[in-house]
Amino acid sequence: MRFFVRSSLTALRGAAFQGHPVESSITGLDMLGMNRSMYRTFTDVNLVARENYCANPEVVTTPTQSLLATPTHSRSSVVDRSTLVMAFHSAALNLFGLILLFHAVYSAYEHALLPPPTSHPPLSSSSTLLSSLNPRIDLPADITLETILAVLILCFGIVSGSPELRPVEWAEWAGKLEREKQDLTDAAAGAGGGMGRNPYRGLDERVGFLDIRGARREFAAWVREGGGGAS
Amino acid sequence: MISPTLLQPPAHLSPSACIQISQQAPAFLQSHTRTVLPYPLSVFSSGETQEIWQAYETLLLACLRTGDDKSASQCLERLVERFGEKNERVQALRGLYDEATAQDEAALQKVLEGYEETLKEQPTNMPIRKRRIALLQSMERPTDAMTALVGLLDTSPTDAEAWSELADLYLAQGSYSQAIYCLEEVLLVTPNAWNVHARLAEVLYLSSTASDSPGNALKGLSESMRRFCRSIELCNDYLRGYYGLKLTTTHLLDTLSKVPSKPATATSDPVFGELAPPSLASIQRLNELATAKLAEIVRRNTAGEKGWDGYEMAEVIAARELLDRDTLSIQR
Repeated sequence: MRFFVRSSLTALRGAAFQGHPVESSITGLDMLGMNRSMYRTFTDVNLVARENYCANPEVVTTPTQSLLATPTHSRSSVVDRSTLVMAFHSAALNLFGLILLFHAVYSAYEHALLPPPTSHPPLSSSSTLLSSLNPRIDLPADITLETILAVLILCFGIVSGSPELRPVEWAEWAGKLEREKQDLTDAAAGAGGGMGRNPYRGLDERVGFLDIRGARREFAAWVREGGGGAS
Repeated sequence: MISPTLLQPPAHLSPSACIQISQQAPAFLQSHTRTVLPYPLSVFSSGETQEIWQAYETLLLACLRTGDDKSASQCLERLVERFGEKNERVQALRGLYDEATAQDEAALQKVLEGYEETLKEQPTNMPIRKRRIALLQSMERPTDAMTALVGLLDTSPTDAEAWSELADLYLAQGSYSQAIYCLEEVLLVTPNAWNVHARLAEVLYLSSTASDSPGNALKGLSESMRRFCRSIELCNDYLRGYYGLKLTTTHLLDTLSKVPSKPATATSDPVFGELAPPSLASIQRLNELATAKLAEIVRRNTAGEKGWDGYEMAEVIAARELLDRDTLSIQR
């Protein structure tokens, strides 16, 4: 417990522990649900867009492709309340776990700097080993416990903050596509976001063979029937 | 930020959805003005995303449908500017625009000749070949369209979209067996397409109701029922599949009760012959299953339950009618 207090005091004094804070801030943001698509703009240079457009995305993209595509969890603008609460919980848990983890690590570091207690009995093999190579594993139990607790909290926080799982079974996935109204904002995220669309819809409504004159006539008839006034 | 509705693939929107999209066009065109930097700098400007071009295409199609030709031509101009006149997809879009804005038959004929001109230069230009076929169909020349489509499939036999189109053409002519063949070809390319299984089942059902001999009708019906079963196997809670299953099993029960003489003796060679018609008990059970499932779907959809609101309104109404018809006949 002595080291616990001591290390937190040194931390309060603002002792710098270089390297780690920077790295932690990145992973922390990632863990806190930072949207990966924010980084995407860098890759979207003109050439990529052009090539992909020219390559003409086939009418039938196999569903495995769309399932395997990199998940960009897009947050829809209209998130319902429970999701928000959930996200806040996971963010708070992650933050708490991270603080705890860093505290434990720093405590261990501080502990390692302490001079060995004089009462420590010398190991029998220490005569042949350099003293610097001989690890003294006498970490106090509170630091060990703190580390384990921090890792557990982080695990729980990350899992609870992850996006909803998609069904693995084909029939279930397909049924979900048919049954649910598709979230349009997910479609906006491209192939990876959300459930995607029925990949075989292109076989029912064939864009390549679109009869535009027929569609125009149909629309004109709809307007004449007064459909335009109703909307 | 592009409105998500613009990124939906554009075919077969309802008129009201279509007009909503096309009304966004002027604002969209305004907000995405071209600011083209010279070449090395343009790489660093991240103003361009893939979604923009999809949105332009959607807008183009929606505007053409609603008759907003001015916005459509602007969209087309930007696409041409970006991808060049020689891009096949852009060529097809230009053809689409020309078709839509053609005033009379002579103008259409000219568009058609333009397509043939292009195809003489590049016979592998698939989008233009498809446009030509669609235009032929639209000009009420189905036999020409069919010949062209068969030619296209000769060169590219794995084009599921084209096979599916050919099936529809044959079906419109009433040649069921050819349509069934084409749909089976589609299934060879995409064996997991549940909607194509359902489509094939529907065509089989149509052909069996049209055939005169009871033996053929029975065969077609049971085949159709099996196809519907497969589509349900591939897709849980598939309204179209359950609707078809209910319809076919009801018919099958009728037919089998009328011809009770030799359902079991029809079994032929177990390896190469046709499957025996299903047993009465299993049909009965499938019918019950379909009824229960349809009732559940209709109930949960009309109650507006979350996660069950994606069905088409018309389909749900049709399913309810089918169920009502059933209960009426039981009451009588």
